[in-house]
Amino acid sequence: MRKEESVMDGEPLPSAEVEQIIGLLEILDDLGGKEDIPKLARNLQFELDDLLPVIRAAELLGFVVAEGGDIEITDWGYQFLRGNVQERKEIFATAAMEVPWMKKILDMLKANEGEPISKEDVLEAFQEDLSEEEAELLLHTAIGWGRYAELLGYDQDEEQIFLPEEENP
Amino acid sequence: MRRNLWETATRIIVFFLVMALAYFLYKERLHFPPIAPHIPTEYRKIPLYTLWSLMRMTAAYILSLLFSYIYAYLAATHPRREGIMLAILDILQSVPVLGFFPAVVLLFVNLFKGARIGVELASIILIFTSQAWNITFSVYESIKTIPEDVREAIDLVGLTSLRKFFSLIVPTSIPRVVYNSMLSWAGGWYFLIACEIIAIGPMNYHLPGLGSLMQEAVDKGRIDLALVSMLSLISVIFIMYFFIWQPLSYWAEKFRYEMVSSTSEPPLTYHLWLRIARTKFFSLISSLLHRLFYPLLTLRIKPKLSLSPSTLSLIQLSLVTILLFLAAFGTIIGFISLYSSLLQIHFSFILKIPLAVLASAGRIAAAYLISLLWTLPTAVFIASSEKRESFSLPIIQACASVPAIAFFPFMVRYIVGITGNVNIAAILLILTGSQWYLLFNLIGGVKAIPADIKQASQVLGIKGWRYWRKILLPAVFPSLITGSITAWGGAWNALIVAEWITYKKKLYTAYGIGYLLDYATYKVGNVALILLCLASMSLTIILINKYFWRRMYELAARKYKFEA
Amino acid sequence: MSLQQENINLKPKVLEVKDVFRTYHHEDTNIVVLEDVSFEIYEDEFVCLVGPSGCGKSTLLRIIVGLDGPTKGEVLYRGKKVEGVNPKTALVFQNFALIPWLTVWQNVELGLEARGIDKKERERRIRYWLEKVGLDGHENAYPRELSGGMKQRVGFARALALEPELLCMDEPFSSLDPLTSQNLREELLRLWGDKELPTVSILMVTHSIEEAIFMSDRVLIMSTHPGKIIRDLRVELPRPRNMRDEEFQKIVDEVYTLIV
Repeated sequence: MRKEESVMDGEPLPSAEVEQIIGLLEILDDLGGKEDIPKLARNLQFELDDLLPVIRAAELLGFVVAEGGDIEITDWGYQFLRGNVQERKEIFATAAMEVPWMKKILDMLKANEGEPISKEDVLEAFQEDLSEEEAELLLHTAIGWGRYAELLGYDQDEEQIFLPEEENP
Repeated sequence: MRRNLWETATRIIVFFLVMALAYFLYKERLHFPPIAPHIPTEYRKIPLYTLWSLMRMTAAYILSLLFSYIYAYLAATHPRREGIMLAILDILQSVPVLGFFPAVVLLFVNLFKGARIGVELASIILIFTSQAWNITFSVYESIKTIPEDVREAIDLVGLTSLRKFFSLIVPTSIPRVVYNSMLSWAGGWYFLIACEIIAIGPMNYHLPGLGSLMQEAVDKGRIDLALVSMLSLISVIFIMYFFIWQPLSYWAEKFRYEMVSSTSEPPLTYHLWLRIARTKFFSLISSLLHRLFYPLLTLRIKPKLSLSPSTLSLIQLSLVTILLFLAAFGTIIGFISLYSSLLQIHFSFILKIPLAVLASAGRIAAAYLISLLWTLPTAVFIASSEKRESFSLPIIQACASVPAIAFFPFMVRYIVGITGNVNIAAILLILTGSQWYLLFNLIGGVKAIPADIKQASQVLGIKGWRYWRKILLPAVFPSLITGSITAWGGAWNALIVAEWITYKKKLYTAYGIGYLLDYATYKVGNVALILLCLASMSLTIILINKYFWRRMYELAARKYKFEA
Repeated sequence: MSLQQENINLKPKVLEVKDVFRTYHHEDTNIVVLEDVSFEIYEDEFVCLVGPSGCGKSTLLRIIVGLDGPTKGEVLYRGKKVEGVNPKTALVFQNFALIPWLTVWQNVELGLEARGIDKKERERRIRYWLEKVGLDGHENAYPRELSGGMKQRVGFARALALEPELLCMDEPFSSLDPLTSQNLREELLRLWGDKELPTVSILMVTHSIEEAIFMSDRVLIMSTHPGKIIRDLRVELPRPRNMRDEEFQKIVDEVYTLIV
C-alpha cells in the first residue's frame, strides 16, 4: 500500500500542502473515485505542473495510485477522507512516518534525545541528494505535514524543529 | 562568518588607505589665490543669481548621474571589486560635504590659478558630493535586484554593448533614481551656501548665486534681501516640483517590475509633457540626438583588439601594477607624513575627540527624538487624505531644500539671546537639516499600509492607542528606519555648521566634533588635525550605520514587511 | 425544480438593505457603483452575492459591514440602522489581511482584545477556534510561514472567535489554488451544516456562479455598471453538493441562461 521512494528520482518533489492533498481526494471522490490526470487538471483549471506534486504526495502517502495517466483513490485514501478531524490526523501521521525523508527527520530528533534540532542540520542531510533549493522546499513540506500530523513542531525564530509536548506552548 | 570578517577587514583597510591617500593629497597644498571681491547684494541681481545657482546644481546633477551609473555598473558586475568599491562609497557617503572642501578647492582652484572657472568647477564638484552618493547606491541596488530571469535573458544575448546598458540597466533604475534625485536636489539646495562661498583659511571667494547672496545679505543685516532670495529659491523648487519631479515620478512608476496598479491620476504637468513630446519639434530633436548617439550605442565596451589574449592580459597586468604602485607610493608617503604630523599635535587634542563625538551624537539624538515626536503624528495626519498629501509633498520638499544655514547666524543670535543656551540653538539648527527626511519617509510608510489591513483593523474594532501600538507603528517601522538613516546623515552635515557660527563679529560655539573640525580649519589650519576630525566623524557615522541602523533595517525587512 | 423565484421565509429578518445607492465623484463625473440595491437576509441562511468584477459587490459588502456608508438608502440590522462598523458582523478578506508581525495566536486575539474580553475567555475562544479550523500546532507561526489556505483559516478563526451573528466573506477562496479552496469550502460547509458556527447567517461575495450554487441557499446575482441585483434565486439542492454532478451542472447552465 505504501510506496517506498527515495527522495529524488527525477520526478517532481511531493511539495504539497496537506489541504491540497485533502482537496484532491475530495474532488476525486466527487468524480467517482477515478479520473484521467490531464482531464482533471483542465477541469480544475489547474496547471499540470502544479498538480503533479500533489498527486505525487498523495501517492507517497498511499492515498491514491497513479497508473497509465489515471489517478484513483485507494481504500486507505477513503479511510482518510471519511475520518473525522482527529482520525484524519492519526491516519496521516501513520502514513507520513513511513515516508523516507520524514522518517529521517524523526530519527534525527530521536537521536538527539528529544532535544530540538536545527533547520540547518536537516537541510544538510537533505542536500546529500538534493540541491539547496529542493532541500528547502522539501523541508518546508515536511514541517507542514509534521505540524498537521502533530509529529513535530517548528520554531521560526530559533529555526529549530522539535518534538511536540502534550501541551501547546 | 568568515565572509563577514573579510568584509569588515576590507572596510577597515580601505578606510585607512583612503585616509592616508587623502592626507597625501591635502598636505602642503593649501596655497590660496588672492581674495576675490564680494558680489553686489541687490534685488535686481536675483534672477541672474538664480540662473547661476540652477546652472551649478544641474551641472552637478548630470555629473552625479554619470558617475553613479558608471561606478555602480562597475561595482555590481564584478564580485571581486564590488566589496572594495562599496566600502569606498560608504566612506564617501559618511564624510560630511564640508569635508571635501579642502581637497576639491586646492585641486581646482590651483589648477586654474585662481581664475573664476576654477572656483566654479570647485563649487560644482562640491555640490556633486552632496548629491551623488545616494544616487549611486540606488543604481547599484536596482542592478542587484534585477529579477534573475531577466538578467539571464540579457546575459544570453551578451551584455557587451552600450545598447544593452540602455535597454536594461537604465530602465530598471529609473524609479529609484527619480526618488533619490529628488532627495539629492533637496540636499544640494540645502548646502548651496556652503558650495557657493568657497571659504577656507584666508581665502574667501563668493560666487554669484542665490546661496552666497543669502549669506551676504544676512551678514550685512539685510534680512529683507535674504528673505526675498529665499522666496526666489522656494519658487524654483516649486516650479521644479510641478514641472519636473511630479510628472517624472508618475512616469517612473511604469518601470517597476511589480505589478503595482496605479490608481493615482497623472498630474496635469504630465499631460503637458506628453503634448510636447508629440510635437514635430520634439521628434526632430530626438531623431537628431538619436543619429548622433546611435554609433555610440552600438559600440562594444570591450573593443576587439588584434592581440593575442596573453599579450592583452600582459598589458592589463602592467597597467594595473603601475596604478597600484602609484597608489601605494602615495599612500606610504601619506602615512609617513601623517604620522610625523600627528606627533606634532598636542596629545590632549586627540583625547578631546571621543568626548566631542559623544557630545555631538548626543545633540543629534536629541534632535532626532524631537523630530520623531512631531513627524509621526503629522505623517499619519497627512497620509490619511490624498488631497492633504499632494498638497504637503511639495511644501515638505521646499522645507528640506531651504538653505537654513543662511539664517543660522541670525537664528543663533536670537535663540541664545532668549534662552542663553547655545545647545538649544544647535539642536534646532540640526533639526532643519534632518527632520524633513523623516517626515517624507514616514508619509510614504503610512501610505503603504495595505487597504485590507486598515479595513480589517476597523472591522475588528482596533482603534486609538491599540491601533498605534499594534498596527501603525510596526507597519511604518521600515520607512522609519530608512528615513532615520537619511535624517542622521543630514544631521551630521548640519552639525558642522551648527556648532560654529559667527554673526556680527561674535562667535557662538557648542562643544562637539563639528566644533573641533571648524576649530582645526579656521583657528589652527593644521591639515592632519582636520583630517583626524573628519576621520573620527566618518568612522562614527560608519559604525552607527553598521551596528545600529543596518541591524534595525534587517529586522524591519524580516519581520515588518507586508507581503505582496 | 430546484430554483425558485420567491423568498418564502418564516424566520426573523437579520439584515435589510433598502434602496441603496453608492456613487463616487471622480473629476467632473459621477460614477454610480451601486444602483437601487434592495434585499433581505433571514436567520439560518447562507446567501451569496455573485457578479463579475467591478459590479460593486465588494463595495456593497463593506456598506453592510459598516466600513462604508451608502450615498442613498439605508442598511438595517435587526431593524436598526447601521451606523459605523457593526460589531455583530465579521469580515473575511480575499487577501487574508493578516498582520505580518503577529503570530497566528496574536492575530486571532486582536479583535477579542479590542472588545475587552478577559484573558481566560480569550484563551478559551482562540484555542477552540484554532482547533476547529485545523490550525492547532500553529499558534506561534507567523503568517509568512503559512500557505494561502492556512492564512485564510486564520482569517476564519479571527472572524469566528468574535462570535458574529452575520459572517461576511469577500471572495474568500479566490486567492487560493483549486485544491485548497475545495478543501476549505467543504470544511466551512461542514461546520455550517453541523451547526458548529456561532453565526446565524452567512453572506459571501464571489465571482464564480459554480461556487455560489455550491455553497449557498440563496444566490443574488448582480449586474455591472451600475451594480444592480437582477435575480434572487433559492438553491434547493440537497447537501452535500457535488460540483461535478450532472444535476449540479444543469442548474449552473440554467442560471447562466437566466442571466443572459
